[in-house]
Amino acid sequence: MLAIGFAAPAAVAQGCAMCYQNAAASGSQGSAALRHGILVLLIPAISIFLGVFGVTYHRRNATR
Amino acid sequence: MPVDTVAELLQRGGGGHSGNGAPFGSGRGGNDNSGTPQRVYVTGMILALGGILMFFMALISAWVVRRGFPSSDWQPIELPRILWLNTLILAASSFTLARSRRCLVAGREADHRHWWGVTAALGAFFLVGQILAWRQMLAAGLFLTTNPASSFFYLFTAAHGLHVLGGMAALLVVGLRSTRRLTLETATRVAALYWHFLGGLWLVIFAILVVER
Amino acid sequence: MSSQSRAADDLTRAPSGGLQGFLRRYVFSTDHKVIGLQYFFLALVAVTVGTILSLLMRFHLVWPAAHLPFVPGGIMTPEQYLALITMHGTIMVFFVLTAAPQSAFGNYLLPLQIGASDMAFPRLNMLSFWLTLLAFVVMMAAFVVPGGAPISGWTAYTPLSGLGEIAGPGEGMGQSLWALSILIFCVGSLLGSINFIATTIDMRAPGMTLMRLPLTVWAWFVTAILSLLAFAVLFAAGILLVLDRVAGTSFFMPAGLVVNGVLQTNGGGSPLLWQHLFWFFGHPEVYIAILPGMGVVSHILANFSRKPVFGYRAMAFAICAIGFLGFLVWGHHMFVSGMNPYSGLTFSLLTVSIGVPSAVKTFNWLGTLWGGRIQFHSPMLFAIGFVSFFVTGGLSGIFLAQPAVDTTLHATYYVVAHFHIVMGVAAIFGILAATYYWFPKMFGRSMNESLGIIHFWLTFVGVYCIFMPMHFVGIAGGIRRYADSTGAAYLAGFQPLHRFMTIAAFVTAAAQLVFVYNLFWSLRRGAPAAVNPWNATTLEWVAASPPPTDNFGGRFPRVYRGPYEYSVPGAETDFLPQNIPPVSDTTGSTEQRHAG
Repeated sequence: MLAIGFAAPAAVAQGCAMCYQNAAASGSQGSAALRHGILVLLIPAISIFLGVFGVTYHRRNATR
Repeated sequence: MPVDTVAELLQRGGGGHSGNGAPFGSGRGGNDNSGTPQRVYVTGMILALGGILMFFMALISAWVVRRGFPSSDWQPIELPRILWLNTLILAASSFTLARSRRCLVAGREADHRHWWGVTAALGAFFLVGQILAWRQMLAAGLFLTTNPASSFFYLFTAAHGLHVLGGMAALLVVGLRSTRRLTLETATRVAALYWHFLGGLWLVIFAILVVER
Repeated sequence: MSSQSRAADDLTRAPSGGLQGFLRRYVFSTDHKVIGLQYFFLALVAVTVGTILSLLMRFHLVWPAAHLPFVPGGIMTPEQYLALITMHGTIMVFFVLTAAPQSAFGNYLLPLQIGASDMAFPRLNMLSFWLTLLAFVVMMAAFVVPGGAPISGWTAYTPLSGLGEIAGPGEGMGQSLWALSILIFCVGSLLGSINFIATTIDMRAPGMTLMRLPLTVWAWFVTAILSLLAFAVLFAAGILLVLDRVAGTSFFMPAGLVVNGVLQTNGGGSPLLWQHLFWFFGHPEVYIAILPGMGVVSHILANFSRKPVFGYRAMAFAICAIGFLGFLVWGHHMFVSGMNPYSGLTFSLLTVSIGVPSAVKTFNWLGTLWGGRIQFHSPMLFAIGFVSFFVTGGLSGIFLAQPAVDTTLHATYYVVAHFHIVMGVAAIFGILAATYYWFPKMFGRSMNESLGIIHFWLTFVGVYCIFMPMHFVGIAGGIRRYADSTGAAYLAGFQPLHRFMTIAAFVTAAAQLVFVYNLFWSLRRGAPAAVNPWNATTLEWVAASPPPTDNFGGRFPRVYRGPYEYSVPGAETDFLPQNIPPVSDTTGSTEQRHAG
């Protein structure tokens, strides 16, 4: 499975010509922007997810 | 007297004793079994803040991406100067709110009400200031669709401002002692959580608007 | 009215009369049970509409030139087909698969299963339902406005969805109503998820520790966390889309678009941004659709095998792991969007890693069944059916998770087969299992068991007939979202298969009428049900059938043991309810009895 994964060709947006245009035109700066945008979504989401579990564990004995 | 059957236990249960092994327990911690404990309102507000935070993070993510695309027509905009004053006002309101709660804890009811009112007034000034900022933007010819930076300016300030409006409503409801299920202590705590969160959020948004100049 | 006097009212069952009483009790009620049922019946209406839409699609795929009486112009146009796809997907994903497993059954049963009298915020709960209902009405309105329903898919990819009327029929008012409906739905879901999480954390009965929670509660809890985070992002994306549509901003509109000969003025935005935002919501959304079903299946398998759930802790942990990992894999919907292959590799590895907790759950379900004294009642049949479909659908997902393989399979019927088997079948089986299982509790009556078994077999065989052949069409290159592939010579050989699938779809849809008939007939005429007809252990079976307003008639349970104590060695009965204190041994020691 790893071998197939590493053998992945650049999936060049054959399904969406406009996506490819968009992605190709944006270059490395664009992909950096997307990467940062992804992190801005991911880090708070993961933190809140874990945070809720933290609060739950903290209140684990808080039955009525 | 030994209790031999579950049926007997069922007959005995449900009546004001706790921890005796009966299948039906009784109230603890100052609330009856069917009531809602006060701490749950704090939990609810914390969760709501999580959702609101995610919403703004999505907007900020869009800002990061939109700004970073090289083909974009991004032009940094001149921020209305009044925004600095508004930031100070909102920050001050957090301090007055904290002071108000300290007065409540210390039993100084009148002082508590006074500072609560000051907080609400500062909040109102903030909102007025934001509207003035919008007017300054419009006067400078920066509308919603002028360029992406102006779009995000209006988007961020409008979204934040609407939440502050909700916060004003909360301050009012609590100030008028109109909450029925929440004790005053819980209500002020919950309102404070929300208000401080919005203050912190504004600092983040303001930093973003300043940085991208 | 205070909760005590409400409880007293219900103990004496004093009915409040007239229209006002009816409205307060069944329409504008803050009772989580009423709200749960309101969601359930909303989902039932939605699934009926969604199914009809899919039958029209399947019919068109086989007989594209047929004259249809209700279609303006007689023959369905490709745009009308796309409108069917859009509305079918939207209605099913939001108003069936999010509403029923989580909002309907979760609302009804969560407070009962943790021994509470209601949700933490009952009025907020009522508001959530009414917002969801409003969202449904707004969505339905898209059918009847000029231009009709939108055509951009349930995924509403930009720039098509952001252009407005110029982009095609349905893209004017229809798409705007779609966006508005989704925004309203988001708010309803967000409020609901706050309720679920806060209730689970703070409203548990004495003795109900986290490790004694039924797995259904774990599932609803994690689903609610996913919901809180995912719908917040969708709400933001929706706002940006609306601004692009009505205010002329360009968050998602690329520059230089020429649509129908007209150069668009907004530009510089990124369609990829919409995809990232949407799928950041969209992937957790499918876990929101399936996790509650997983909880229900664990619950039911234990009950009808008369065995504890195999590996309870692992099951609870797996629910959390699936939820967590669900946030990290959204890029697998975008493998062919031109992303960096190393990003693709990352998303791919994360996606297959979800297979680990999923496999843990599957093996533990099998472990639960193994060696059990299995009772093949209708809820059990549907629960076992869920496992079958989850495995089938999950396996095809592993293929799709490889970017190299997905390069070929993306946008083919292979994908359609995959997500229909997991969402359109497995999740639905979870809903059906839950319905058959909790119907006696909800309505105090039993469903007809023979009809249930007939319904199961017709559906089980029927959906395999619909969706198994679909994989082959996909591998052969059958493209999804195409209204008419009959002209493609390389696909001509697959038309008989399409015919087979369409006929199977109609037959299976008709078979659901058995269920609908059973449901409504039993509501009125079903045999009266006992308090605990399945001899189950969890707290909802302590309450009356149906439970009074405060759930336990003022006598709230205390919890002494875990949720699946079936066939405990040495016990008198083959199940130990959670709320019955440990009975001493024959020496009758009172100290032991009083030790909670």
